[in-house]
Amino acid sequence: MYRYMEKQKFIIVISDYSTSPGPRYCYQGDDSGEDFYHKVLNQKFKEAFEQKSELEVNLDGPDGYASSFLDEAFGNLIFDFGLENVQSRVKIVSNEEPEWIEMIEKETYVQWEQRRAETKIPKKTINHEEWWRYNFATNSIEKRRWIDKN
Amino acid sequence: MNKSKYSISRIRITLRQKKIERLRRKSADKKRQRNIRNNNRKKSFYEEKPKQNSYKYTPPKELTIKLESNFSLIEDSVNVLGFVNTINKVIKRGRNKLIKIDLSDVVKIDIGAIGLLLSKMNELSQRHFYAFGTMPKDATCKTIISESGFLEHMRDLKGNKIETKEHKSMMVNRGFDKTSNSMVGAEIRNVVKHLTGEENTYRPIFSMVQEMCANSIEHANEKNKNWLFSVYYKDTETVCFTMTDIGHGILETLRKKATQIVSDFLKSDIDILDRAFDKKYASVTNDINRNKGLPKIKKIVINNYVNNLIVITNNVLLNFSDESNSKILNKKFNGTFYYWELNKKCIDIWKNRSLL
Repeated sequence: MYRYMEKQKFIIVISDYSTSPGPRYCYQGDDSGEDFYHKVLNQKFKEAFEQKSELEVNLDGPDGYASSFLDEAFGNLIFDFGLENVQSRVKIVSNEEPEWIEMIEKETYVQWEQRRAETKIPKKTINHEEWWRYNFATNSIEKRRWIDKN
Repeated sequence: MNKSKYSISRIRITLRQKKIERLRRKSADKKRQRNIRNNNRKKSFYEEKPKQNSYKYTPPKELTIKLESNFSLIEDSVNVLGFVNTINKVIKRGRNKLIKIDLSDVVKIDIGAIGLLLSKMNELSQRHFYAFGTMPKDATCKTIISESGFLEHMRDLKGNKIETKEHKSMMVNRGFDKTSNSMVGAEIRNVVKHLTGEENTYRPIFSMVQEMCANSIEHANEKNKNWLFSVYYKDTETVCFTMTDIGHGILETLRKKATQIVSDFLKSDIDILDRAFDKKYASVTNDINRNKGLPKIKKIVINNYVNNLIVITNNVLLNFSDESNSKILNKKFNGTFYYWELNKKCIDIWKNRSLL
């Protein structure tokens, strides 16, 4: 007998992180895309990845976004885990501005996968605590401070 | 080694020729200065010599900058940019630490010019200059300035806050090296409440301001980061916004990576600026994932979520709502200035847009 079991779903609501998300980098202002990635998105994605679950990121609620905030946050996720892993696990919800989904999925994902292939490392404007990254050679995830402030 | 027997004399001849040339230039320069003094040419600014007194302390030299009658950025942008350039010269020269800005002859002023004036005052204070000014004699201009909230950012000569009537005509956020997202978000909610009666967010303007602010911080001169966001409650139906960043300007930033606009050398600066908003040039950072900000701003304008966007940067005025009013300016502005308006109709268009 097969029984349908709903997998645990991980949810990030960005308005819980900030009602007014900021710019791309930490040095440019509060609640930046870089900060959001390191404080929230990286850890949640790792948990979803380990449990083979879906991660839903809800963009509704805040005052709005700069494209650079979203690009930096989701771009770093692609750089650390690869396009395939992210596409198969992350679901973006944006009922207020669906155009952000299009930008992230059609531009950010593709461009950052290219950056990853070319090993063009992302800029880190502060020294972050250790974060998770997928090791394609061993098919496992590792926690380390991969990039220092540059 | 065979040395020419004339080699020493040749060197001497060259040195002598150079010396004669130096003397000739010096003499010509002196003559030019003398002619300028004799002709009594008018300068855009003039220095007042400090009065002699019995103390050894000599007061700082005062410099007066007199503004012309039409100080309206939309109508007479060249005049306003002339003022901006004069302030830049004064800052660069750094000799006069006491600056008087004389507005007494001004008969026409607009919110764009007030925004720029405030931004330059901001810069002067940042660079440790002491700037003060006089109000226009013209009653209408005086009212516009006092209702704009400009005086709330000034002090009287005793250093006290200038008392103004309670109003919410203008709100200003200024910053140097960081964005101020929460304050901008809060002010946009106030604007929406002013226009519709409901306190709500308005995402298009929040995005626009964040893009502009981030560009200002990222591309501006390292020593001279300075942005100013102002909101002017014109009447019950219209709110005007300005965003000023003092830096290099969009065209200058593009030209740093000259190769990408070489192919466009036949195009005018207006076209090049317009193409920058269409994502025709790569970002100066060389990262392929960049350059999404200006196209986002243009998209907001095309969809009529805001009205009358005007961009002034370097030597170009780009008018998005009426292209025939775009022009090349004969005065250069090192930075970028944005002006746009919001009314209830724009908010309705945003609310009722198709989300498919």
